[in-house]
Amino acid sequence: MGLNNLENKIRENKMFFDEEPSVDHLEKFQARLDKIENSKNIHHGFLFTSNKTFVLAASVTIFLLIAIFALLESSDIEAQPQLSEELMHVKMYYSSQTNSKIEEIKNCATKTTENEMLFETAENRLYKLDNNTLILEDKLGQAKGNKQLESAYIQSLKAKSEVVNQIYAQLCENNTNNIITQ
Amino acid sequence: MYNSALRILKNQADAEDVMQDSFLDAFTRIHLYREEGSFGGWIKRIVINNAIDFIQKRKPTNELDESQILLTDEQEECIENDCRLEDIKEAMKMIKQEYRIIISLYLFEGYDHEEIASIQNISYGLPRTRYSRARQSLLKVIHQLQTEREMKWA
Repeated sequence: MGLNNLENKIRENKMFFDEEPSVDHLEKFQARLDKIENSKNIHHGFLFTSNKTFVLAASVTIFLLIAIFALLESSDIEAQPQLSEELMHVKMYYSSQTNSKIEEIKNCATKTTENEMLFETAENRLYKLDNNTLILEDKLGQAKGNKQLESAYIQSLKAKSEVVNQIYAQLCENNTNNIITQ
Repeated sequence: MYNSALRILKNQADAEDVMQDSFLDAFTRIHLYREEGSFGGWIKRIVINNAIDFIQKRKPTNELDESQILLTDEQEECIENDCRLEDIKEAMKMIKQEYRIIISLYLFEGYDHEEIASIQNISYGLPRTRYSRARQSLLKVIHQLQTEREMKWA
């Protein structure tokens, strides 16, 4: 027997050494986030506050999604995922970021014809980007580990997030500034 | 992520706290993430750094001092061949903190010695010697566990 017997034994049976966190772990995390949010809930203006809330909301969303994903993966209920774990994390991050921003836009944008047209054009652009992302996701499923495809996939997710941020800047930040200066 | 923290910290509650802190750290410092490495790898590194910071601030715990036990090469080989996974898991909890960290980083997390030196902020030569000692220590504790079990069933 070689000297690497111990190493091989550990590396081949890594799963054996894994343990699950406590059942109320997510609740504890949520309680902790609420506590942080309450203690830092000082009014520094709409944008500043929403940024903090957004970071916390994104953390919880991603944390929950990762937990659910890990659960499904371990139970073998789900079919083989098309994306690697890392890419799933990236996808979940950008999805939660863009979704939260879209919700914020819907809430803050004033209903003018110009804004509606702008939002409609942006929605078309987002739709195209979503299609592009889906095509890349499909291709990644067939060519796992292809660095160029992975990079393109991340860029596509990032592009959507940037588009949403631009819309937010155009429709909401100007609006907020107007309210503050009035 | 949780298991990466747990292996270093040995304590479930501490591992959960460190993981939660790390997720918050990651998303408040997301702008520092460069797409050079994987996103998961970036978060894992934060978890590990936080776990090491946490353990270094904590008071030292009672750890097994196995320095008096000496093993021959034959004994080592025998221990390796016969050791159970349960014994390895138990022994991991009993060895010295610095040994547990280096075994976790090298064998479980898959970092190489250069990366470990960078994570622990130590000289490049140190992880190799420390790992060698850690391995010896782990085998000695496994041997103790094996002996205790044999005596129990004798």
